[in-house]
Amino acid sequence: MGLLKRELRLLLRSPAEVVQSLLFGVLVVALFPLAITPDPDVLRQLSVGLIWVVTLLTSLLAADRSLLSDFEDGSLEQMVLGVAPLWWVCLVKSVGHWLTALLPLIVITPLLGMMLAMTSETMLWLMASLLVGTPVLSLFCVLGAMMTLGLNRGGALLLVILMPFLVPPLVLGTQWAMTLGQPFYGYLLAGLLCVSLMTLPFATASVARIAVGR
Amino acid sequence: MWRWFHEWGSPRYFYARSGRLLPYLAGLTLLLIPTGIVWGLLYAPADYQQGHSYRIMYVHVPAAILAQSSYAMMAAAGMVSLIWRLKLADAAMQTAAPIGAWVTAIALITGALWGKPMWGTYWVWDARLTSTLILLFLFAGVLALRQAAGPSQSGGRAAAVLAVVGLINLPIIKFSVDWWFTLHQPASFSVTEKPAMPIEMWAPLLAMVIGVYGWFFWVWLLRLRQEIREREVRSEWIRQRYQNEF
Repeated sequence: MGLLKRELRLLLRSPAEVVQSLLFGVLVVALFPLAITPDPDVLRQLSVGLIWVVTLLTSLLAADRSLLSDFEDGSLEQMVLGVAPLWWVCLVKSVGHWLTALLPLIVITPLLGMMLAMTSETMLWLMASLLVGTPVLSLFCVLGAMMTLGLNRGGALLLVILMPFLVPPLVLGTQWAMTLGQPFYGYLLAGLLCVSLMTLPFATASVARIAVGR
Repeated sequence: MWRWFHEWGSPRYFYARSGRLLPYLAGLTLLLIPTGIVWGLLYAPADYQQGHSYRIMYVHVPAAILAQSSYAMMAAAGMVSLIWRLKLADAAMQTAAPIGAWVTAIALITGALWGKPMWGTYWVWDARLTSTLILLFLFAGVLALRQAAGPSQSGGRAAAVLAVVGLINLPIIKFSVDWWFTLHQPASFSVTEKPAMPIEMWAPLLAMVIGVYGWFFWVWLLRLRQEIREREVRSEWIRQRYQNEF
Protein backbone atom coordinates (compact mmCIF):
# COMPACT_ATOMS: atom_id res chain seq x y z
CA MET A 1 0.00 0.00 0.00
CA GLY A 2 2.88 2.32 0.78
CA LEU A 3 4.01 2.04 -2.80
CA LEU A 4 0.63 3.07 -4.06
CA LYS A 5 0.68 6.11 -1.75
CA ARG A 6 4.14 7.05 -2.97
CA GLU A 7 3.01 6.79 -6.58
CA LEU A 8 -0.01 8.98 -5.90
CA ARG A 9 2.06 11.54 -4.01
CA LEU A 10 4.55 11.76 -6.87
CA LEU A 11 1.62 12.22 -9.17
CA LEU A 12 0.08 15.05 -7.16
CA ARG A 13 3.38 16.88 -6.94
CA SER A 14 3.96 16.91 -10.66
CA PRO A 15 0.72 18.04 -12.24
CA ALA A 16 2.75 19.09 -15.31
CA GLU A 17 2.78 15.49 -16.49
CA VAL A 18 -0.97 15.20 -16.32
CA VAL A 19 -1.36 18.50 -18.14
CA GLN A 20 1.08 17.37 -20.80
CA SER A 21 -0.97 14.26 -21.57
CA LEU A 22 -4.16 16.30 -21.68
CA LEU A 23 -2.68 18.93 -23.97
CA PHE A 24 -1.29 16.29 -26.27
CA GLY A 25 -4.72 14.67 -26.58
CA VAL A 26 -6.58 17.90 -27.22
CA LEU A 27 -4.04 19.23 -29.70
CA VAL A 28 -3.87 16.05 -31.76
CA VAL A 29 -7.65 15.79 -31.89
CA ALA A 30 -7.79 19.42 -33.02
CA LEU A 31 -5.52 18.56 -35.94
CA PHE A 32 -7.92 16.06 -37.48
CA PRO A 33 -10.70 18.47 -38.50
CA LEU A 34 -8.02 20.72 -39.95
CA ALA A 35 -6.39 17.90 -41.88
CA ILE A 36 -9.49 15.98 -43.02
CA THR A 37 -12.59 18.12 -43.17
CA PRO A 38 -14.72 20.19 -40.80
CA ASP A 39 -17.79 18.27 -42.06
CA PRO A 40 -19.47 16.93 -38.87
CA ASP A 41 -20.85 13.83 -40.63
CA VAL A 42 -17.41 12.66 -41.66
CA LEU A 43 -15.89 13.50 -38.27
CA ARG A 44 -18.66 11.65 -36.45
CA GLN A 45 -17.88 8.50 -38.41
CA LEU A 46 -14.18 8.71 -37.64
CA SER A 47 -14.45 9.98 -34.06
CA VAL A 48 -14.33 6.71 -32.07
CA GLY A 49 -11.28 5.42 -33.90
CA LEU A 50 -9.48 8.75 -33.78
CA ILE A 51 -9.94 9.19 -30.04
CA TRP A 52 -8.83 5.60 -29.41
CA VAL A 53 -5.68 6.12 -31.51
CA VAL A 54 -4.90 9.40 -29.74
CA THR A 55 -5.33 7.67 -26.38
CA LEU A 56 -3.00 4.89 -27.49
CA LEU A 57 -0.34 7.39 -28.57
CA THR A 58 -0.66 9.33 -25.30
CA SER A 59 -0.20 6.08 -23.45
CA LEU A 60 3.00 5.29 -25.37
CA LEU A 61 4.28 8.83 -24.88
CA ALA A 62 3.92 8.61 -21.13
CA ALA A 63 5.37 5.09 -20.87
CA ASP A 64 9.05 6.07 -20.79
CA ARG A 65 8.42 8.72 -18.20
CA SER A 66 6.72 6.36 -15.79
CA LEU A 67 9.89 4.42 -15.03
CA LEU A 68 12.80 6.58 -16.07
CA SER A 69 13.20 8.72 -12.97
CA ASP A 70 12.89 5.67 -10.70
CA PHE A 71 15.51 3.91 -12.78
CA GLU A 72 17.92 6.83 -12.79
CA ASP A 73 17.83 7.62 -9.08
CA GLY A 74 18.09 3.98 -8.08
CA SER A 75 14.63 3.59 -6.53
CA LEU A 76 13.83 0.84 -9.01
CA GLU A 77 16.82 -1.14 -7.84
CA GLN A 78 15.65 -0.74 -4.24
CA MET A 79 12.19 -1.94 -5.25
CA VAL A 80 13.65 -5.03 -6.89
CA LEU A 81 15.65 -5.75 -3.75
CA GLY A 82 12.88 -4.70 -1.36
CA VAL A 83 10.33 -6.73 0.57
CA ALA A 84 7.27 -5.89 -1.49
CA PRO A 85 6.67 -8.53 -4.17
CA LEU A 86 7.99 -7.29 -7.47
CA TRP A 87 4.82 -8.06 -9.41
CA TRP A 88 2.95 -5.78 -7.02
CA VAL A 89 5.49 -3.00 -7.65
CA CYS A 90 4.95 -3.44 -11.39
CA LEU A 91 1.18 -3.41 -10.98
CA VAL A 92 1.39 -0.20 -8.96
CA LYS A 93 3.59 1.33 -11.65
CA SER A 94 0.93 0.46 -14.24
CA VAL A 95 -1.76 2.00 -12.07
CA GLY A 96 0.37 5.14 -11.75
CA HIS A 97 0.82 5.29 -15.50
CA TRP A 98 -2.90 4.89 -16.02
CA LEU A 99 -3.77 7.59 -13.47
CA THR A 100 -1.33 10.14 -14.90
CA ALA A 101 -1.66 9.57 -18.60
CA LEU A 102 -4.98 7.94 -19.38
CA LEU A 103 -7.58 8.73 -16.73
CA PRO A 104 -7.37 12.52 -17.32
CA LEU A 105 -7.84 11.92 -21.02
CA ILE A 106 -10.89 9.74 -20.38
CA VAL A 107 -12.33 12.47 -18.17
CA ILE A 108 -12.09 15.05 -20.96
CA THR A 109 -13.36 12.63 -23.63
CA PRO A 110 -16.68 14.54 -23.79
CA LEU A 111 -14.71 17.60 -24.84
CA LEU A 112 -12.81 15.66 -27.49
CA GLY A 113 -16.10 14.12 -28.61
CA MET A 114 -17.65 17.54 -29.03
CA MET A 115 -14.73 18.60 -31.18
CA LEU A 116 -15.48 15.62 -33.43
CA ALA A 117 -19.28 16.07 -33.40
CA MET A 118 -20.06 12.81 -31.60
CA THR A 119 -23.54 11.88 -30.46
CA SER A 120 -23.91 11.55 -26.70
CA GLU A 121 -24.81 7.86 -26.86
CA THR A 122 -21.65 6.94 -28.78
CA MET A 123 -19.72 9.11 -26.37
CA LEU A 124 -20.95 7.18 -23.35
CA TRP A 125 -19.98 3.86 -24.92
CA LEU A 126 -16.64 5.31 -25.99
CA MET A 127 -15.94 6.31 -22.40
CA ALA A 128 -16.97 2.87 -21.18
CA SER A 129 -14.70 1.18 -23.73
CA LEU A 130 -11.83 3.47 -22.75
CA LEU A 131 -12.35 2.74 -19.07
CA VAL A 132 -12.19 -1.01 -19.63
CA GLY A 133 -9.61 -1.01 -22.42
CA THR A 134 -6.99 1.54 -21.38
CA PRO A 135 -5.74 -0.36 -18.30
CA VAL A 136 -4.60 -3.04 -20.76
CA LEU A 137 -2.64 -0.35 -22.62
CA SER A 138 -1.04 0.77 -19.34
CA LEU A 139 0.00 -2.76 -18.40
CA PHE A 140 1.65 -3.31 -21.78
CA CYS A 141 3.24 0.14 -21.84
CA VAL A 142 4.94 -0.44 -18.50
CA LEU A 143 6.15 -3.84 -19.73
CA GLY A 144 7.57 -2.21 -22.87
CA ALA A 145 9.12 0.66 -20.93
CA MET A 146 10.79 -1.84 -18.62
CA MET A 147 12.23 -3.66 -21.63
CA THR A 148 13.73 -0.52 -23.13
CA LEU A 149 15.00 0.98 -19.85
CA GLY A 150 18.49 2.34 -20.18
CA LEU A 151 18.66 1.80 -23.93
CA ASN A 152 18.20 5.50 -24.77
CA ARG A 153 16.29 4.77 -27.94
CA GLY A 154 13.19 6.82 -27.20
CA GLY A 155 9.65 6.26 -28.25
CA ALA A 156 10.04 4.76 -31.71
CA LEU A 157 11.47 1.52 -30.35
CA LEU A 158 8.65 1.33 -27.83
CA LEU A 159 6.06 1.68 -30.59
CA VAL A 160 7.73 -1.06 -32.67
CA ILE A 161 7.81 -3.40 -29.70
CA LEU A 162 4.33 -2.73 -28.40
CA MET A 163 2.23 -2.19 -31.51
CA PRO A 164 1.19 -5.84 -31.99
CA PHE A 165 0.09 -6.11 -28.36
CA LEU A 166 -1.99 -2.95 -28.47
CA VAL A 167 -4.03 -4.21 -31.43
CA PRO A 168 -6.50 -6.41 -29.49
CA PRO A 169 -7.62 -3.73 -26.98
CA LEU A 170 -7.82 -1.19 -29.82
CA VAL A 171 -9.92 -3.46 -32.04
CA LEU A 172 -12.22 -4.68 -29.28
CA GLY A 173 -12.57 -1.24 -27.70
CA THR A 174 -13.45 0.61 -30.90
CA GLN A 175 -15.83 -2.13 -32.00
CA TRP A 176 -17.56 -2.10 -28.65
CA ALA A 177 -18.07 1.66 -28.80
CA MET A 178 -19.10 1.72 -32.44
CA THR A 179 -21.67 -1.04 -32.02
CA LEU A 180 -23.05 0.93 -29.06
CA GLY A 181 -22.17 -1.65 -26.48
CA GLN A 182 -22.75 -4.96 -28.16
CA PRO A 183 -22.08 -7.32 -25.22
CA PHE A 184 -19.94 -9.69 -27.32
CA TYR A 185 -17.15 -7.14 -27.57
CA GLY A 186 -17.66 -5.94 -24.01
CA TYR A 187 -17.16 -9.42 -22.58
CA LEU A 188 -14.07 -9.98 -24.70
CA LEU A 189 -12.57 -6.64 -23.70
CA ALA A 190 -13.26 -7.32 -20.01
CA GLY A 191 -11.79 -10.80 -20.39
CA LEU A 192 -8.69 -9.33 -22.01
CA LEU A 193 -8.36 -6.93 -19.08
CA CYS A 194 -8.64 -9.77 -16.54
CA VAL A 195 -6.06 -11.94 -18.30
CA SER A 196 -3.69 -8.99 -18.68
CA LEU A 197 -4.07 -8.03 -15.02
CA MET A 198 -3.29 -11.56 -13.92
CA THR A 199 -0.28 -12.19 -16.15
CA LEU A 200 1.47 -9.00 -17.24
CA PRO A 201 2.72 -7.78 -13.82
CA PHE A 202 4.64 -11.06 -13.55
CA ALA A 203 6.19 -10.65 -17.00
CA THR A 204 7.12 -7.05 -16.14
CA ALA A 205 8.67 -8.22 -12.88
CA SER A 206 10.91 -10.71 -14.67
CA VAL A 207 12.02 -7.98 -17.09
CA ALA A 208 12.64 -5.61 -14.17
CA ARG A 209 15.19 -8.06 -12.73
CA ILE A 210 16.95 -8.11 -16.10
CA ALA A 211 16.86 -4.32 -16.41
CA VAL A 212 18.32 -3.74 -12.96
CA GLY A 213 20.99 -6.36 -13.51
CA ARG A 214 22.09 -4.65 -16.71
CA MET B 1 16.76 -37.47 -21.79
CA TRP B 2 18.46 -34.93 -19.53
CA ARG B 3 21.88 -36.05 -20.61
CA TRP B 4 20.84 -35.56 -24.20
CA PHE B 5 19.54 -32.11 -23.35
CA HIS B 6 22.75 -31.04 -21.61
CA GLU B 7 24.90 -32.40 -24.38
CA TRP B 8 23.03 -30.53 -27.07
CA GLY B 9 22.99 -27.40 -24.91
CA SER B 10 26.74 -27.19 -24.95
CA PRO B 11 27.94 -25.07 -27.85
CA ARG B 12 30.88 -27.32 -28.52
CA TYR B 13 28.85 -30.54 -28.79
CA PHE B 14 26.15 -28.79 -30.75
CA TYR B 15 28.68 -27.33 -33.15
CA ALA B 16 30.27 -30.68 -33.85
CA ARG B 17 27.00 -32.59 -34.22
CA SER B 18 25.09 -29.98 -36.22
CA GLY B 19 27.89 -29.93 -38.75
CA ARG B 20 26.94 -33.49 -39.69
CA LEU B 21 23.31 -32.52 -40.20
CA LEU B 22 24.10 -29.76 -42.67
CA PRO B 23 24.64 -31.90 -45.80
CA TYR B 24 21.34 -33.73 -45.25
CA LEU B 25 19.40 -30.50 -44.87
CA ALA B 26 21.14 -28.99 -47.87
CA GLY B 27 20.39 -32.11 -49.90
CA LEU B 28 16.73 -32.10 -48.89
CA THR B 29 16.38 -28.43 -49.73
CA LEU B 30 18.20 -28.58 -53.04
CA LEU B 31 16.23 -31.64 -54.07
CA LEU B 32 12.74 -30.54 -53.07
CA ILE B 33 12.65 -26.81 -53.82
CA PRO B 34 13.81 -27.03 -57.47
CA THR B 35 11.51 -30.04 -57.99
CA GLY B 36 8.57 -28.22 -56.46
CA ILE B 37 9.25 -25.00 -58.39
CA VAL B 38 9.71 -26.63 -61.80
CA TRP B 39 6.85 -29.06 -61.31
CA GLY B 40 4.52 -26.44 -59.90
CA LEU B 41 5.34 -23.64 -62.30
CA LEU B 42 5.65 -25.63 -65.53
CA TYR B 43 3.87 -28.96 -65.30
CA ALA B 44 1.02 -28.69 -62.83
CA PRO B 45 -2.31 -28.14 -64.59
CA ALA B 46 -3.70 -24.62 -64.77
CA ASP B 47 -6.57 -23.77 -62.46
CA TYR B 48 -9.97 -23.72 -64.15
CA GLN B 49 -10.88 -20.41 -62.52
CA GLN B 50 -7.63 -18.62 -61.83
CA GLY B 51 -5.69 -19.73 -64.88
CA HIS B 52 -1.95 -19.56 -64.47
CA SER B 53 -1.82 -16.87 -61.83
CA TYR B 54 -2.64 -19.41 -59.11
CA ARG B 55 0.91 -20.73 -59.52
CA ILE B 56 2.28 -18.13 -57.13
CA MET B 57 0.64 -20.35 -54.53
CA TYR B 58 3.71 -22.60 -54.77
CA VAL B 59 5.76 -19.81 -53.19
CA HIS B 60 3.10 -18.07 -51.16
CA VAL B 61 1.59 -20.98 -49.24
CA PRO B 62 4.90 -22.49 -48.06
CA ALA B 63 6.12 -19.04 -47.01
CA ALA B 64 2.94 -18.34 -45.08
CA ILE B 65 3.06 -21.71 -43.29
CA LEU B 66 6.74 -21.29 -42.48
CA ALA B 67 6.22 -17.72 -41.25
CA GLN B 68 3.98 -18.81 -38.40
CA SER B 69 5.97 -21.83 -37.37
CA SER B 70 9.25 -19.92 -37.48
CA TYR B 71 7.80 -17.50 -34.95
CA ALA B 72 6.79 -20.42 -32.75
CA MET B 73 10.28 -21.90 -33.04
CA MET B 74 11.90 -18.56 -32.22
CA ALA B 75 9.67 -18.11 -29.17
CA ALA B 76 10.34 -21.69 -28.06
CA ALA B 77 14.07 -20.98 -28.22
CA GLY B 78 13.41 -17.81 -26.21
CA MET B 79 11.52 -19.77 -23.58
CA VAL B 80 14.34 -22.30 -23.25
CA SER B 81 16.86 -19.48 -22.86
CA LEU B 82 14.72 -17.88 -20.15
CA ILE B 83 14.12 -21.05 -18.17
CA TRP B 84 17.47 -22.82 -18.41
CA ARG B 85 19.67 -19.82 -19.26
CA LEU B 86 21.21 -21.69 -22.17
CA LYS B 87 23.54 -19.49 -24.18
CA LEU B 88 22.84 -21.64 -27.17
CA ALA B 89 19.08 -21.01 -26.99
CA ASP B 90 19.69 -17.27 -26.89
CA ALA B 91 21.84 -17.53 -30.00
CA ALA B 92 19.18 -19.70 -31.65
CA MET B 93 16.48 -17.14 -30.96
CA GLN B 94 18.58 -14.30 -32.21
CA THR B 95 19.45 -16.05 -35.47
CA ALA B 96 15.91 -17.30 -36.15
CA ALA B 97 14.37 -13.82 -35.92
CA PRO B 98 15.71 -12.28 -39.16
CA ILE B 99 14.96 -15.41 -41.20
CA GLY B 100 11.41 -15.50 -39.85
CA ALA B 101 10.94 -11.80 -40.57
CA TRP B 102 12.04 -12.27 -44.19
CA VAL B 103 9.80 -15.29 -44.67
CA THR B 104 6.84 -13.30 -43.34
CA ALA B 105 7.71 -10.44 -45.67
CA ILE B 106 7.88 -12.87 -48.61
CA ALA B 107 4.48 -14.30 -47.66
CA LEU B 108 3.01 -10.79 -47.60
CA ILE B 109 4.61 -9.70 -50.88
CA THR B 110 3.65 -12.83 -52.81
CA GLY B 111 0.19 -12.55 -51.30
CA ALA B 112 -0.09 -8.99 -52.58
CA LEU B 113 1.08 -10.05 -56.05
CA TRP B 114 -1.48 -12.84 -56.06
CA GLY B 115 -4.15 -10.47 -54.82
CA LYS B 116 -3.74 -8.09 -57.76
CA PRO B 117 -5.03 -10.43 -60.50
CA MET B 118 -7.52 -12.18 -58.21
CA TRP B 119 -9.09 -9.36 -56.23
CA GLY B 120 -8.03 -6.39 -58.36
CA THR B 121 -6.00 -4.85 -55.56
CA TYR B 122 -2.70 -5.50 -53.85
CA TRP B 123 -3.95 -5.07 -50.34
CA VAL B 124 -7.21 -5.46 -48.50
CA TRP B 125 -7.71 -5.27 -44.76
CA ASP B 126 -8.77 -8.86 -44.58
CA ALA B 127 -8.36 -10.67 -41.27
CA ARG B 128 -5.68 -13.05 -42.49
CA LEU B 129 -3.63 -10.37 -44.21
CA THR B 130 -3.82 -8.13 -41.19
CA SER B 131 -2.74 -10.82 -38.75
CA THR B 132 0.20 -11.74 -41.00
CA LEU B 133 1.18 -8.07 -41.08
CA ILE B 134 1.04 -7.97 -37.29
CA LEU B 135 3.19 -11.11 -37.19
CA LEU B 136 5.77 -9.15 -39.18
CA PHE B 137 5.58 -6.36 -36.60
CA LEU B 138 6.12 -8.91 -33.83
CA PHE B 139 9.29 -10.07 -35.55
CA ALA B 140 10.31 -6.44 -36.03
CA GLY B 141 9.83 -5.76 -32.32
CA VAL B 142 12.03 -8.68 -31.28
CA LEU B 143 14.69 -7.71 -33.81
CA ALA B 144 14.62 -4.03 -32.81
CA LEU B 145 14.88 -4.79 -29.11
CA ARG B 146 17.69 -7.30 -29.66
CA GLN B 147 19.60 -4.79 -31.80
CA ALA B 148 19.10 -1.94 -29.35
CA ALA B 149 20.22 -4.00 -26.38
CA GLY B 150 23.54 -4.86 -27.97
CA PRO B 151 25.32 -8.18 -27.69
CA SER B 152 24.82 -8.56 -23.94
CA GLN B 153 23.12 -11.62 -22.51
CA SER B 154 20.61 -9.49 -20.59
CA GLY B 155 19.44 -7.86 -23.82
CA GLY B 156 18.84 -11.32 -25.17
CA ARG B 157 16.70 -12.20 -22.19
CA ALA B 158 14.54 -9.09 -22.54
CA ALA B 159 14.01 -9.99 -26.20
CA ALA B 160 13.17 -13.55 -25.16
CA VAL B 161 10.47 -12.29 -22.79
CA LEU B 162 9.07 -10.23 -25.64
CA ALA B 163 9.03 -13.23 -27.96
CA VAL B 164 7.29 -15.42 -25.37
CA VAL B 165 4.68 -12.77 -24.52
CA GLY B 166 4.15 -12.43 -28.27
CA LEU B 167 3.61 -16.16 -28.64
CA ILE B 168 0.94 -16.14 -25.93
CA ASN B 169 -0.64 -13.09 -27.54
CA LEU B 170 -0.60 -14.47 -31.06
CA PRO B 171 -3.95 -16.29 -30.76
CA ILE B 172 -5.51 -13.27 -29.03
CA ILE B 173 -4.34 -10.97 -31.81
CA LYS B 174 -5.53 -13.42 -34.42
CA PHE B 175 -8.99 -13.82 -32.90
CA SER B 176 -9.47 -10.12 -32.27
CA VAL B 177 -8.61 -9.37 -35.89
CA ASP B 178 -10.92 -12.15 -37.05
CA TRP B 179 -13.82 -10.76 -35.05
CA TRP B 180 -13.06 -7.25 -36.21
CA PHE B 181 -13.40 -8.32 -39.80
CA THR B 182 -16.00 -11.04 -39.84
CA LEU B 183 -18.74 -9.36 -37.87
CA HIS B 184 -18.66 -6.18 -39.87
CA GLN B 185 -17.98 -6.65 -43.51
CA PRO B 186 -19.57 -9.18 -45.77
CA ALA B 187 -16.99 -11.68 -46.94
CA SER B 188 -16.47 -10.51 -50.48
CA PHE B 189 -13.83 -13.10 -51.13
CA SER B 190 -12.33 -15.85 -49.12
CA VAL B 191 -8.79 -17.06 -49.12
CA THR B 192 -9.69 -20.05 -47.03
CA GLU B 193 -12.09 -21.86 -49.29
CA LYS B 194 -10.24 -23.37 -52.16
CA PRO B 195 -11.71 -25.87 -54.51
CA ALA B 196 -10.43 -29.33 -53.71
CA MET B 197 -7.18 -29.69 -55.56
CA PRO B 198 -6.25 -32.67 -57.71
CA ILE B 199 -3.10 -34.50 -56.78
CA GLU B 200 -1.07 -33.01 -59.66
CA MET B 201 -1.59 -29.64 -58.02
CA TRP B 202 -0.93 -30.39 -54.39
CA ALA B 203 2.00 -32.79 -54.76
CA PRO B 204 4.39 -30.00 -55.89
CA LEU B 205 2.96 -27.84 -53.11
CA LEU B 206 3.78 -30.52 -50.56
CA ALA B 207 7.31 -30.77 -51.98
CA MET B 208 7.67 -27.01 -51.61
CA VAL B 209 6.38 -26.97 -48.03
CA ILE B 210 8.80 -29.68 -46.92
CA GLY B 211 11.53 -28.01 -48.99
CA VAL B 212 11.15 -24.61 -47.32
CA TYR B 213 11.26 -26.24 -43.89
CA GLY B 214 14.51 -27.90 -44.93
CA TRP B 215 15.74 -24.55 -46.18
CA PHE B 216 14.77 -22.83 -42.94
CA PHE B 217 16.61 -25.32 -40.75
CA TRP B 218 19.60 -25.28 -43.08
CA VAL B 219 19.95 -21.49 -43.05
CA TRP B 220 19.17 -21.36 -39.34
CA LEU B 221 21.94 -23.84 -38.58
CA LEU B 222 24.39 -21.96 -40.79
CA ARG B 223 23.63 -18.69 -39.04
CA LEU B 224 23.63 -20.32 -35.62
CA ARG B 225 27.02 -21.90 -36.25
CA GLN B 226 28.39 -18.54 -37.35
CA GLU B 227 26.96 -16.97 -34.19
CA ILE B 228 28.59 -19.69 -32.08
CA ARG B 229 31.92 -19.10 -33.81
CA GLU B 230 31.67 -15.39 -33.04
CA ARG B 231 30.66 -15.83 -29.42
CA GLU B 232 33.10 -18.61 -28.61
CA VAL B 233 36.01 -17.11 -30.51
CA ARG B 234 38.12 -17.05 -27.37
CA SER B 235 37.37 -20.59 -26.26
CA GLU B 236 39.85 -23.40 -26.56
CA TRP B 237 37.87 -25.75 -28.77
CA ILE B 238 37.25 -23.17 -31.46
CA ARG B 239 40.94 -22.37 -31.48
CA GLN B 240 41.88 -26.00 -31.88
CA ARG B 241 39.32 -26.57 -34.55
CA TYR B 242 40.37 -23.65 -36.67
CA GLN B 243 44.02 -23.33 -35.73
CA ASN B 244 45.15 -23.69 -39.32
CA GLU B 245 43.13 -20.67 -40.31
CA PHE B 246 44.23 -18.35 -37.52
